[in-house]
Amino acid sequence: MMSQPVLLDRDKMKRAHRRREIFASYLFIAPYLVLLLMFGVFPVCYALGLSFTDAIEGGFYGLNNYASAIQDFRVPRAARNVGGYVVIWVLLTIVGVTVVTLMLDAINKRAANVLRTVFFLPGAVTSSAVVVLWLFLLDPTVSPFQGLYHLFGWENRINVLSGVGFAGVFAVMAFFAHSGGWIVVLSGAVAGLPGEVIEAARIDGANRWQLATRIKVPMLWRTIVLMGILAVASGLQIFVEPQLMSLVGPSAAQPDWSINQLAYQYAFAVGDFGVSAALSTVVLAISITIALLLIFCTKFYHTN
Amino acid sequence: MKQAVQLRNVRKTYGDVEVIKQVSLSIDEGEFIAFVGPSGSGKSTLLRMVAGLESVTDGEILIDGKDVTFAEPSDRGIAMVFQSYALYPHMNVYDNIAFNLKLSRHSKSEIEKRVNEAARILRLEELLQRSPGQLSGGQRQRVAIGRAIVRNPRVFLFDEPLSNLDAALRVQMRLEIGRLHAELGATMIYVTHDQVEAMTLADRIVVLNNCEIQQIGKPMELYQRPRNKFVASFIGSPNMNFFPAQVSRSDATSSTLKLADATLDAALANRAMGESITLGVRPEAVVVLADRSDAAGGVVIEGKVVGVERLGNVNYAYFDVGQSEPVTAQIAGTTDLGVGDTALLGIDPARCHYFDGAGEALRVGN
Amino acid sequence: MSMNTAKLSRLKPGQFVIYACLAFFVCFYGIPLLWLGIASTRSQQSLLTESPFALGSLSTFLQTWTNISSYNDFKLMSWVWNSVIYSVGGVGLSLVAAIPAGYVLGVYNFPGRKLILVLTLIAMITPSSAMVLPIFLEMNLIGLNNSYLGLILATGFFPFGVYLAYIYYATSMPRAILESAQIDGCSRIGLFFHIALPLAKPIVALIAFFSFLANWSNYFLALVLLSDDRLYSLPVGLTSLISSSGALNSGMAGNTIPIKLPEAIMASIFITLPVMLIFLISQRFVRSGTLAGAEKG
Repeated sequence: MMSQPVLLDRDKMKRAHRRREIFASYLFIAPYLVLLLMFGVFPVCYALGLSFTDAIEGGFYGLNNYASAIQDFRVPRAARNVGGYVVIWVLLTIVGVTVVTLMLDAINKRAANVLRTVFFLPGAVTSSAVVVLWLFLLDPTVSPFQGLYHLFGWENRINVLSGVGFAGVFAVMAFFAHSGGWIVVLSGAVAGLPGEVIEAARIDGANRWQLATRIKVPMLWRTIVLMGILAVASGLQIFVEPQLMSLVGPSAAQPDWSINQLAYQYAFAVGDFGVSAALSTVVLAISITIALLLIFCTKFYHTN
Repeated sequence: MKQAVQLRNVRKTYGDVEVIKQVSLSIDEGEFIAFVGPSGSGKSTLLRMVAGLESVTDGEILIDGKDVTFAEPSDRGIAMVFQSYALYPHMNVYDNIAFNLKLSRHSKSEIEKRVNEAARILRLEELLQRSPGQLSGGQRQRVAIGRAIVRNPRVFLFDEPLSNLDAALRVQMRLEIGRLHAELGATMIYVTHDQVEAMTLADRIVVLNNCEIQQIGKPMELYQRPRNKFVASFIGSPNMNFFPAQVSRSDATSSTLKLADATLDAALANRAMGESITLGVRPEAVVVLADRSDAAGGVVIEGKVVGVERLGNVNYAYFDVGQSEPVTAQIAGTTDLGVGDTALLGIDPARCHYFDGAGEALRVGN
Repeated sequence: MSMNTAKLSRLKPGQFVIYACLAFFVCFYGIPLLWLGIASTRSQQSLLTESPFALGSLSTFLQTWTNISSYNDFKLMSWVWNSVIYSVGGVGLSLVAAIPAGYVLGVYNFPGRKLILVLTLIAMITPSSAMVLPIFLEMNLIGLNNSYLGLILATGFFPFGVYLAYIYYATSMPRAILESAQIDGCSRIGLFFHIALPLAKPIVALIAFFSFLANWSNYFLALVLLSDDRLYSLPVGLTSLISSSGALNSGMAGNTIPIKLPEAIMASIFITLPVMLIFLISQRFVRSGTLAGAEKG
């Protein structure tokens, strides 16, 4: 008797209930959603759109922006620069971070904690200050490493820069600032390894070296690969390091060393937003491809 | 008697998967009902549907005669005690218990009165200012119950409340919950996978399996007259022994069943010739015989001892009788049996349960 | 016994290599920071001619400070304030956006959830510098470049924070506690403010930390969005200062601006010090937080 009206309203009530739930969810996520659309989705679409637009005259421009970007002799050179930098920086990160982490795991725990803090600290030096700091460190007249430079016979900063190579110098700067964080992350992964497996390997007769190379590294492989991929993604975006080389004067300035710098130049020096957008779009496309590969081809980011 | 909770043809599906198949159930006011079943049987889902934490696909749920199928959990007049206690870690014991009262804007003095009353019942007076992290498992459980008590709910819901406690504490808390039920006289629904908890606490037990109710009844009813093979094996520990048998003769009053190497006359009327019947015998109904002549008309099976468990007050022996599962018998402490010994096992047909090919219990006698 | 000594002597060269290697890295990370601290007390003359670790004097340090603070009406200080405004604004906005977003993404299911999650992950993995020019182009379109609001809005978008909050709520937030509060009579909004938010305090602090770090050191985006030097953030201001004074450019020795090497060094410390202090104070907490964030990664 009383169930009759309920049965009639059943679907209506269910839907109303669900609608309320969805509405509440969107209420909470709204501020973030606005930002996501404004600074995530829209800029990408807008840059993509601009890259097909004639920025000076207006109107559809086809692939002309891309064509003029490729015809700029500086673009392939910048691509080679960035490619070389990424290779050095990624290798340095993977090998350096892994080796240091495993070594820290092999020594006294309290000493390792102190050292990890020391390694982590340069991460506090902001990116532009890192470059300024290294401009000092690279100058044989003031650098605390001057003894080392004299060994190679480098007398001034230009000697050092050309001796090591720009890609190498930038990679060392980035490694100085960012590797400490990764050492902490990888140390966490080492601490998370099941102790019984390590003990079983020791009972099986593995020494420290074998333990590190045959047991720990294979078990840490996913984290190491993740680190490498993220290093590639960030390496492709290099901007601050070469841009700030101009601080030490025109002899060392590298205003068009990386792709991002060229995109910046097209926007600010030339005022051609179209070509700038085309270059940005290419760089973004690579980054987003890497992100998508990471999300869908691995289970790194699966939580459920 | 007034009905506290009614489920009418309640169903729940996730897409195509049915997690509750057509459940109907009436719970009287003041009754203690236990939902038991193996994991995945749907017992927790059913409880959470009563609580309003899971939606209902079909059917209605009534509490105190009021349709609450679509009501918010807080509007149903229920209180729930979770398996993990679910205490608010950032509030002390007092605030945990008072949270609901504060949300429903009771006066400060009223809140204090009710929290203190609950604390008295649960002997938590000393702990009110502690944070949940400083409490032992049993204390946390009592706080969780206290949180339920202060609301004066129409129905208490317990979701496996004791399974995170160690064995000794579990017995103690079981007694406390029993005492609480007697003291408050409230309706309680209690989900557990532990049949001992269900048997000792409940007025009636609801046995669930495969997302549907297998049987509802008083504890001893389920034990003595299980409606099907599942209930027979799920209730009682150690499990009931099962023997495959075939009808070799049947008339209007009795049938003869053929076992692997014995026959037995059962009070089953009019069975089909050759029908497969499963014989169920509880361990305490399996008797170790000194001599074949002691059988007294029962069935005698020969078995080889594969294990003996002496628990002190009761002792069990496990026999290999040529089936895949060993046969369990409860034996006297003085019985001298060791692994490898051979023994004669006697089974009294009057203490047997009979199940047809679909596992349904068969009525004995006329 | 003999087994033991044999084992020890066999391990010794290995241990030596480990300690030598770690010592090298301590120098690599530590010496520059140590040098930076000492160098701020030294004069231009001392920096160029004396040994790298020679100590300066307090009076030199004060002279350097005077040079910096008197330059252009202490413009540096206004850049510090700008940086504080940008950072605090960015942190505040990112928290207001990220915590509720991570909460509903982690706890509720609603249409569009998966898409938002995937977009968040893409935005998180994509380095922020890749988005700088597109964001500039957009800001140019809507006229928000060269304003406090523009930079704060852009840095308030912090997908990593959403991800951290999401992981926290999805994995560490016991469902039963939320359900229990629901039974106790919490509305959806009440559930967030009474239960979810207080329980997320550590993650709130962690997101605030990372967001502050990113905003304080943000260079590329600030450089691109800000053209008025009164709006400069500290990193942009510092580099423009060094660049215009030619402090690091030995070819511009005849410059009259009193911003030379010691001043450049002190200004670098200016940028670094707040973050370094927060790092040191909260390092245990941050390290465990970095782990928590990375655990899933």
